[in-house]
Amino acid sequence: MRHKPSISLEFEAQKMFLFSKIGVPGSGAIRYAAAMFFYNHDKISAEMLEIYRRCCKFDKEDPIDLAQFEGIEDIPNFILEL
Amino acid sequence: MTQDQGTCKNALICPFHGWVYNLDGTLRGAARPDTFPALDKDEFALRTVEHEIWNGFVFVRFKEGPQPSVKKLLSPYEQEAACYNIADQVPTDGFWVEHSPVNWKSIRDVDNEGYHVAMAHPGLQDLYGSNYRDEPYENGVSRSEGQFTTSNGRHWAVRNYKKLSKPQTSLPKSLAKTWIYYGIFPNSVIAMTPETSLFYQEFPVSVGESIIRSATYRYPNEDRQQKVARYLASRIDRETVVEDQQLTIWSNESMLSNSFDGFHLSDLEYGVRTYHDHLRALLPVYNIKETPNENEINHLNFSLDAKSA
Repeated sequence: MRHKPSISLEFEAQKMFLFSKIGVPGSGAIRYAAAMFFYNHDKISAEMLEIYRRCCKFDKEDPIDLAQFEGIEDIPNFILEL
Repeated sequence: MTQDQGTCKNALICPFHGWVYNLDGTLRGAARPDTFPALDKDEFALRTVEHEIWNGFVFVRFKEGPQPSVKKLLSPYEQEAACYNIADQVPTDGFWVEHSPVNWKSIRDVDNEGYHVAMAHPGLQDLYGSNYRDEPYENGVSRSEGQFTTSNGRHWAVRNYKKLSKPQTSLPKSLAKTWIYYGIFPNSVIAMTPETSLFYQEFPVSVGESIIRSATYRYPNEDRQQKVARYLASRIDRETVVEDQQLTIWSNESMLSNSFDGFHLSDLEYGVRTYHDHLRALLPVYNIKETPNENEINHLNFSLDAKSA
């Protein structure tokens, strides 16, 4: 039987995915998938998740830039701090 | 999943609306989740497809059939195949795909016998010629092998390949100068040479058109000599493929002729006969002399099956 990773390990892994380097091929989708994880754990809003969805196919698009451009106010600290 | 190649690092994402699926297929979340009620991750998971990994090759089956697992099918060759460490090998140059204007079974018929090699494949004949031997299809698999002849080789590629072929240390002496082919009923072959492993398979598109698909894998630690040997082997193989394709086209054309009255098989072509025995066992309609209309085939198969039961 495969062991599920502990939730804190999963959080760390998803955090790493969320902060995948901008511009790396496929990174837009990786960030969006991680954002969905954090949405499921009430760490980001539906509005912020939608920003990640919009950036999903655009690896060079920085979701935080876009969120700020769109005037989204509740960008979580754990995202901004990086 | 819409890409030909790549890796899914974190999840699978539908390119239409952006639903996200975990790597085990369960739903991570729908796009705009605030517009849906709570969705159960298992109920809305991707559909499971039967699959199996054999020595690194991934097999998928969309509909259950009478064949046993690949592991069971190829169990007679398990020990031999293990010597090649196929799962550790890496792709060489991606997938080779070609359309061919022939019925898919013609491709298999040509591949299932070595009787034509001396006539049609000067390169292969030069490489292993009289040492080639194949086994009949039994329980869904067949095995063929060509051990290099001791001659120097008359053809440039064969001569140099024989000189430079340098097997991995994991290969026993008996396989060091041999090409091996495992036929898997109904449409696939996995082959191994001292330098590579490869597969090729045919898919019917219509009665008169098929797709041939193939890929070759190499050892990740190959040295320059092995790389050159691999190139030479691919040259020999490439010529063989072109020659075989022409044979399948001629064979198909011959069957369309009014003069065609069936094939007359040599004792050396038991691979073809036993392969068709497998088809006859699966498809009763195969035993009917007159060609039925296409829209009758399903019904005929069903009624003949019921009769024999």
